[in-house]
Amino acid sequence: MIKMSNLNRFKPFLILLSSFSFWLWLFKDYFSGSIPINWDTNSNFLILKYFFNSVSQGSIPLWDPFTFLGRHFIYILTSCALNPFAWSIFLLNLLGLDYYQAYLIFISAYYFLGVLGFYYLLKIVVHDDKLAVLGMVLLLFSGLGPQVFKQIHMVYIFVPAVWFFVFWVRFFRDYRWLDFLGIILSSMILCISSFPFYFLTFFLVFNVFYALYFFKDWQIKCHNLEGFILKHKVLFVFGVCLVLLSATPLMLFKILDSRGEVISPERQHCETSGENGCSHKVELNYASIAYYGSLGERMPGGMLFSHLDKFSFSTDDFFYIPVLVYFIILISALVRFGRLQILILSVGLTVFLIALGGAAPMHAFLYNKIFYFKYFRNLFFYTAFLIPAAIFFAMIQFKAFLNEKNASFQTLWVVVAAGISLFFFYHCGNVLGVSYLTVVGAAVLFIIALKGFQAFFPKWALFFLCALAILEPGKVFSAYIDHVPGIQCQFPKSNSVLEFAFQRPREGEHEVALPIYYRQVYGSLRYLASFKDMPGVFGVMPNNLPDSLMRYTYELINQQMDPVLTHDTRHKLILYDQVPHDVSHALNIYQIARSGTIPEGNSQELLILKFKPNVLKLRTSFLKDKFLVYNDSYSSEWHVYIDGSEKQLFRANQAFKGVHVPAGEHDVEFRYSPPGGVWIYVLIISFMFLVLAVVLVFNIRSIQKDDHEV
Amino acid sequence: MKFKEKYPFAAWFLQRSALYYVMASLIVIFCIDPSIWQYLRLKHLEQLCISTDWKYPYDVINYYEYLTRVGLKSTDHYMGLGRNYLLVNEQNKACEAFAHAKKYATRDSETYQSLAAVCHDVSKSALK
Repeated sequence: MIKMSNLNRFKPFLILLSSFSFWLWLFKDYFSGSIPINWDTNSNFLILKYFFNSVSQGSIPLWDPFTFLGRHFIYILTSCALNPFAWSIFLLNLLGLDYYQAYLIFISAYYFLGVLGFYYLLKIVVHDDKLAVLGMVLLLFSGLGPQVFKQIHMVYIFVPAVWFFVFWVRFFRDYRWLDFLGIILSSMILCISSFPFYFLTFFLVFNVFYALYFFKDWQIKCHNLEGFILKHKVLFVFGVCLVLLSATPLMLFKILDSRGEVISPERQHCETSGENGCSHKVELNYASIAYYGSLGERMPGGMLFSHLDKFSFSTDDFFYIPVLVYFIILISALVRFGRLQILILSVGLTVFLIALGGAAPMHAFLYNKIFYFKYFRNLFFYTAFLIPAAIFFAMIQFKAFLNEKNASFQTLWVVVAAGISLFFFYHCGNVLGVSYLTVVGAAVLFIIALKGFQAFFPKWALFFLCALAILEPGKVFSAYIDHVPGIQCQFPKSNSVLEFAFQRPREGEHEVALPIYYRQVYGSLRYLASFKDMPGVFGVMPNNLPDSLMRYTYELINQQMDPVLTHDTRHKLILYDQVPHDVSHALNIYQIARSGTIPEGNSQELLILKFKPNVLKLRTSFLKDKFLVYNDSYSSEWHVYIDGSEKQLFRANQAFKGVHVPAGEHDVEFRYSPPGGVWIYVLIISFMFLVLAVVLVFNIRSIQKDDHEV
Repeated sequence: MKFKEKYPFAAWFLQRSALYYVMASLIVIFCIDPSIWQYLRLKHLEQLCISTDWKYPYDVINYYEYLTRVGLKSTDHYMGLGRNYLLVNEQNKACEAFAHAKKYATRDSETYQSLAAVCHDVSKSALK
């Protein structure tokens, strides 16, 4: 027998599924391949393709041997590669889908997961299923949706953050160990998804204002938390250790950075100062944060209501909130303003002012006072919090509006608010007709509700509200898709095989997946994803600085290079003769030794045994002692072993790796071993899967138990 | 006597959301430097147009619309707006833009003559 309670439980999911189906239909051109993913979603795909393709060939990549003459694979920190949900790409590829298809499914489903989390959060806080469904639909069709295909990092920030708050609110209501574990899982994912500083800022601001407005409640919660920790000491310590484990890659990178070998010339002091070389710190200069990528730059002040059919494919900003949200906030202007509303408004306002960057003083103050504000840019990523916060605020206000008792006064205000809105749209100009329709439709619906047509309202109100909620976004997103210019773009989609190339191609000699593409960014990553070397000797144009590369390589390519070195650098391996064994350094080995052979392929003298991102192993059979230079960027984290025992690795020819190889048959192995190695990542991935499994299984059991009791 | 009983309307008003909306708006207004915001937004929109070689009409429209909205009105801006509105088949808006462009052109300049001709052509085709 079908229980009514089960049907009622599934109704929001039915609405969500149908809304999501409509969302998928609106963006179908991405899935069909007519429109390519753009901006950082593009680069994220290429990075994850490289990562999972390497994993499929038995290696977790910590080094990138293909671009900029070899560099640390910094993107493992920020690409969501360690997220257990991202491993669905790997699984789908094993099942036969190509990486691009698998990636599109992952990012859409992940966004869906975040929207579902928002529904749960609203339901817990507002205690109204219908409003939770409406809020969920409004968020699904907000500006966060298109960001799935343009600026995926916003989704990577938003999804674990919303679930963090779901578990946070549930935990401080019931103090269950399961919700604590959910907080731990969300925190772990936040640490490895993108820079966690956006969430950290939002969380700190939230807690400060919560303590301010709900001081007594905050005190009680702290006391109860203390009790929980004393009761579950092992679980608490285990949880904290897991979060610290997840944060380890970031801390390890800080250690790596402190050695000065990895630099970010695009972002740091290089571009603005006259100094030779760049600062080696991970800190970014103020201007690059406050004036580029801030919300002040990206927020379309005049486009909050007008020109909504002109969002550009060329840019990665899409600050859009459906007009119904603004109208709900307006009609709620005369409802009582509670502490919860003050909290959300205060947090939202503070984060908004921080996100404005140079257009407001708050960020400058925090940049100078709090250390981690120097570590991240792209302040417009705070949109991932601002849009949900605005919708959350609107739903709470809407609930207060529905609970107000003075129906006649409210009816009058709804009419006045509708009039104000319509006049405002007319004054703005270039406002879509559907925006007017949404406001008028919503006003009529609210007046019907206020006039007490109870037979009509409860059953059909949600349906009509959701329809109004998607009316304007449907037009906005359709226009956005229709206006995308004809673009042909090819992505490396299928499995590539790791093969060692003895030479780098010349500029123009070998183009990988040549795109015809607007705002092509991070073009080097196309080579990475294809396991092909970037063409050209340097791979870097002087006025097109990469976002990261090795220091010595950067300094080398900025010098007037010796033609001999220019020639040699194209070849991956060079063998030098008559090198003094007691040479203390090999910085200019090409000048003090005689150039020997340049291997152009496997031979009896030199045979490549193994090539992985972190390892190059070869067998040598030289008649005489040689000095082998591997023209891949030098880093002190690289080690060389001859027949299993470690030898001195020289920094050869300014920027590359060199080692003395004796005559006779030997196995020479270059191995990249940064602090923690691959094991730290294996541990993180394993524990995240474990915690995810526990949270899922026990939550499902808990839901089943509740059903049984009902 | 309690404040609520003595001043019921004031007590009612102080609890209304509108007051907090106004306070939030005032904070935003006082904290923001509108000239910096405008500058950042203009630079960003201009950079978009440059990166697409001024070929993507919606980027160009957004840029010129923003320019004119912040008060940087000139014949060239409105002409650029008009041309790009024609590219996306918005003839009415194109004509409106050309009409604005006329205001900033001097009567005896070549620009005015060509503007008059362009607007005449646009009007003719719009009537068809």
